[in-house]
Amino acid sequence: MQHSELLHRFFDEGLDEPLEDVLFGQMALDPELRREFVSHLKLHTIIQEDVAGITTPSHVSRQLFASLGLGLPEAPLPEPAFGLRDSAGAAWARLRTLVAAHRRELSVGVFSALATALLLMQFTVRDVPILRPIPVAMESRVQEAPVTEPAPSLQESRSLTTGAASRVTSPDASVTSPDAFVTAPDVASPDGNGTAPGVASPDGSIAAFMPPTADAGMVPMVNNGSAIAVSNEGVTVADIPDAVAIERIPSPADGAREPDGETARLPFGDVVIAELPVIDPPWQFTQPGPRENIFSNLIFELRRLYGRSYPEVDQQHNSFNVFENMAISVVSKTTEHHAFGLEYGRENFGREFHRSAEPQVPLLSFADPSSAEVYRPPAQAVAGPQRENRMLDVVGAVWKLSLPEYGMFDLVYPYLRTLVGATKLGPVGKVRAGLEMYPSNYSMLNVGIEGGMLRYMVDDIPYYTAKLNFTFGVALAF
Amino acid sequence: MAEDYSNHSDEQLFAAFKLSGKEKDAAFRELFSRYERKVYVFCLRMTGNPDEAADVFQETFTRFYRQTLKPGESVSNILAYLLTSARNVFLNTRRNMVYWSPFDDEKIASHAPLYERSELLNMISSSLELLDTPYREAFVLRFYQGLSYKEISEITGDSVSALKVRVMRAKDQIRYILAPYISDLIR
Repeated sequence: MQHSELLHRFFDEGLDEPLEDVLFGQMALDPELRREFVSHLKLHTIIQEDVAGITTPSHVSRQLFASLGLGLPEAPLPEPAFGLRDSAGAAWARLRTLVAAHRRELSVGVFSALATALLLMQFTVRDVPILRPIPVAMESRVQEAPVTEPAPSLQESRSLTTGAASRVTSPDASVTSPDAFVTAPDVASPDGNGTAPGVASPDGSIAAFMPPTADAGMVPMVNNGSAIAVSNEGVTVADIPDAVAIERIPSPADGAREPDGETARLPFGDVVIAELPVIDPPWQFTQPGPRENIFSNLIFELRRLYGRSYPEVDQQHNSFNVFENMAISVVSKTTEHHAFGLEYGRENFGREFHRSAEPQVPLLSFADPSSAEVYRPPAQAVAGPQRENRMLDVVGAVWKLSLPEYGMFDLVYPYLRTLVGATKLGPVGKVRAGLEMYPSNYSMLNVGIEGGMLRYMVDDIPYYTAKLNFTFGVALAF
Repeated sequence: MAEDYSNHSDEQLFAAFKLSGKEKDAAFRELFSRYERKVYVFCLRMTGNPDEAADVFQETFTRFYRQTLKPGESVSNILAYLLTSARNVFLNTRRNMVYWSPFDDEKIASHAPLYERSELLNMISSSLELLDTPYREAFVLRFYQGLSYKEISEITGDSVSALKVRVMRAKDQIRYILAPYISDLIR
């Protein structure tokens, strides 16, 4: 008896144990017989599915019963109604199955989403430019105001200003400082924020450090016997009618400095400090960075990628092996945090897709069409699941976020980096998180984990390949 | 109120069906509910056409309802009776039809590759149509109805050995037709 006939009998009526042993023994040796076995198995599976999917149409049964003069057949029992708990359990089970099946893509996606979210969050935070003293000539805006009227109440005093007014007194109001950055020990804000930097000038010309941030907006101005209001337009007393000496506002610092309960009336007048509105210049790409010229802001980086592409495709590629899985980029540092630039790289991306038989894609191009016909692969060879490990040129725009404030040991600093680019197969997006180290002022080493996603089309069907890279790079700056 | 026949055997149901009134209707309903699906599967896979299958199906049960009312008529195996009746109806409807379906490579090659499961099931229906009627009915009765060769022999009147050969050849032909799709599933 032939082995194929044994196979038939095995699936049809079953075999005796000795014959079954013969069949399986032969299958262990013969791969073609094994394929035939699987083919039988699949056919029976398909038949079972086919039988399970066939039901008698209800209208056919109704017509039959009507033609026989019988009542309509009873409607089939409805599907058992599952409770909310059952539905939730089923949904949870489906979700777990989906997560398990796509765990790799999900992990890359979650990593990329987190890194992107961090990038976007940080991007919305206004970058702090380098602080520079801004000399402000105020002598023309300062006027003397004699203290003649009773002091207004605190509320009235606050109402004089547009912001949250601070009332400041000083026993040594004639303090002067040659240093433009003086922290006046006697200036306190009513909300306990502590002291604010200030400067007093005996000659009425005031140079003030005016940081454009809200935290540093309290600018005390002290002048002999004058009431001074400071606004973002300068210093004036004309806007403060009848500003007079008023009671001192206790502050936490007062307890330590005035144990004897010194009365808090100013002998010379009142100082009303208006909170400066935040000067928020629009962020621009041309905003100067930490260095002086554009060339000194450029960073050239060469990096190596050690990638893993999903679905896992381990076939060899037929590309030339120069500059494989490497990338070079140029970024311009626009602020201490942000840098923008371009990157070019060559990188493996595994592809797994299903190719239909038509249209066939010739593997080689020939000038003579008849040659193409000869070398055209048969439809069945091209059709079906295909796996590739293409080496692709990747070109894209880079946005890098440095985070120097989170440096560790003054040695390594975290960074995030995103790339939006293109390959000849389709768009690619990558997000990287890692650490960078500056051995010198002109060099940098970095490592990172990079998640990427490539989208490509085959036979008008979109496919996605996720990839996880470990990268190591060196950079030069000037 | 009609008796509940769901726990009755086929013989008991048939005896009740020979009665009249509500018992008859209830017994017929029960027999119908037991075998209507098997009969419809046979009709559909033999005809390959839902409309034609519906006609054969209705004619089969109509004959069953009317012929068994004759005095002295008895049925031992109701499913075999129904399938035999369905086969006869099917053969009658096809007898005068011009029906020729060559089994050749050209027709096979005309089918575009299909990868969806549902389309694969349609493919097996199409491939059944390519078989000659004796092979198709043997294959359907064996693998779709799960009947033994002896039961098939009672329905068709052919010998068991002949039926075995037919089933094996029919299966080989279907495997040959579906080879690209089955191999696609295997990969």
